[in-house]
Amino acid sequence: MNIIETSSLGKAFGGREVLDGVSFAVKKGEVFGFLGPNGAGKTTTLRLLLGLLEPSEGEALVFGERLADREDLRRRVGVLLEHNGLFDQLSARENLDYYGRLYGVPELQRRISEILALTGLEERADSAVGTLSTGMKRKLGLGRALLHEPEILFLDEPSSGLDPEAQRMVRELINEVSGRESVTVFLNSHNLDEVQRVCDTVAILDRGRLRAYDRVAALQENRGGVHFALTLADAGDITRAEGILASMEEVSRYWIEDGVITAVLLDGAAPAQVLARLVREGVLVEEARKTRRSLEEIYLDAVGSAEGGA
Amino acid sequence: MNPMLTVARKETAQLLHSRMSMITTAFLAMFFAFTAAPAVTMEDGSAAVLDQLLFSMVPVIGLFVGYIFASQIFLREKQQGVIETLLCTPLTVGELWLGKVLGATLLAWGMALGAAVLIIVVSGGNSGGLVLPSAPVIVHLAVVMPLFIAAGTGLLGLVQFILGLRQVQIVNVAVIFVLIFLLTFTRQLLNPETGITWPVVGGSFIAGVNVLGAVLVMGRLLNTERIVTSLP
Repeated sequence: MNIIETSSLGKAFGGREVLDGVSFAVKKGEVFGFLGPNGAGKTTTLRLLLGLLEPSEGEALVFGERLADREDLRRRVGVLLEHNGLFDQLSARENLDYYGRLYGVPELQRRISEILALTGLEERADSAVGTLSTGMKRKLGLGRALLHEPEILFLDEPSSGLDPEAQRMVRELINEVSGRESVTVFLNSHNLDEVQRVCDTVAILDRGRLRAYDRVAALQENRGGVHFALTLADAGDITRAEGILASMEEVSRYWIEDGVITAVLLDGAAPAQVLARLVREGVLVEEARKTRRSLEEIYLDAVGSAEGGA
Repeated sequence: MNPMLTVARKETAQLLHSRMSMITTAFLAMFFAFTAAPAVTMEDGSAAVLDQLLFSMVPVIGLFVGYIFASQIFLREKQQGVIETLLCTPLTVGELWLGKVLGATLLAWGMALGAAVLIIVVSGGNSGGLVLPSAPVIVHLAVVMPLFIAAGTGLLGLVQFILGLRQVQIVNVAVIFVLIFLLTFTRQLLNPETGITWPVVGGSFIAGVNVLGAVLVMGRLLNTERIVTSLP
């Protein structure tokens, strides 16, 4: 069941098109990563889904409806945007209390205690938010978004500006929530490592258009042909191996990193063909294995191909 | 609790926590009170002078305090981006606006009443005996003044919500002066030189209701997309 869906979504500001024909769907319980460089249109898409903006074309639906028209459905959605949505002068507890009342959270004080425990902020519960560190504020922002036990969590760059330790804690919190509470997570990010670690499905947006969209594993397997890594028995053979790979039509590209040659084959080509040719030419291969592409490669490929086509 | 009242309660609490706002507004109220109070003692008919002073001066204090509070609860939340999160809650944009207006108005009204008490006490101290305002003036401060403060804060909030920061800087001050002009114009129209009578307060009440009504109608201009696209 699709819980979030866009179809041919477009948005223009004053005649300037920032989003064009974006279609994707997120299933219940999925962790969906929405990737793209700055200015790609990620935040605009998020705002359209949240009902903060009106689409110029197409639809942006959550629970099959436009959130802008449905206050009751907004109760079922948690949001952590670029800003934490917190009030500096109020304490952590007062902030949670305010949002809890807005969402009509039952047994609010018990729930606030749970959230403070989940975010590890029990000891700072009565401190003014303005006195908390950036990481603590982000965690409290995430806790605020979870306070009313939403079915969908929209996160916009949740670990932006955080140190690695705080990033890890935010990531663990997302994993915990999506795993334990079966919450659907829509993660807007350009932190590829974070997306790779937590997301099931990703969509890559660039200059207002969707460039790639699939399950992470499928993207790693399929996009751009088979990747395989070769370790040679004699490092002195690398130059000769390079020459052979360069001359083969089946090899679309290759690179060398730390003495390991990674070759990318064209669709339909088999690694055995390459191996056989190398052996025939007297290059001894110590190890050959198929590799999965990193999300970074997929991302750069998608964004890069868009640049090439522009 | 009604969501609008929840917002109002939070705004009041937040403003009370904001030391800078409270100090600035308390100073403003005291400054006006202390500079105005001596007028009561220097003229004959202290009670009539006090009435005039409370009728004209105290609502202006309330408007200025409302102006400072509006910047805290509308403009600051927009600058910090908190408003975007609030627009994702089950609140409607109208409830959010009205809740903020209610919270700021109650506190500004309280500060203005404090200034009124201060004027009465200081003038009483100077003249050697406490002079009390007439019943129409008390009703004016209790019922009419909050209408003008609410209209002022509401209009400022509306402007700060829907305009970009640059435009707000230009329009903000204009809004407050338009309201002071309306207040003065109402006063001139009612010609209270002979004293603050019930008809004067009644006329003032009708003016206040109309101004507030106009602002509430203008509230229809509120639009989520307009707010979001004018975020800094």
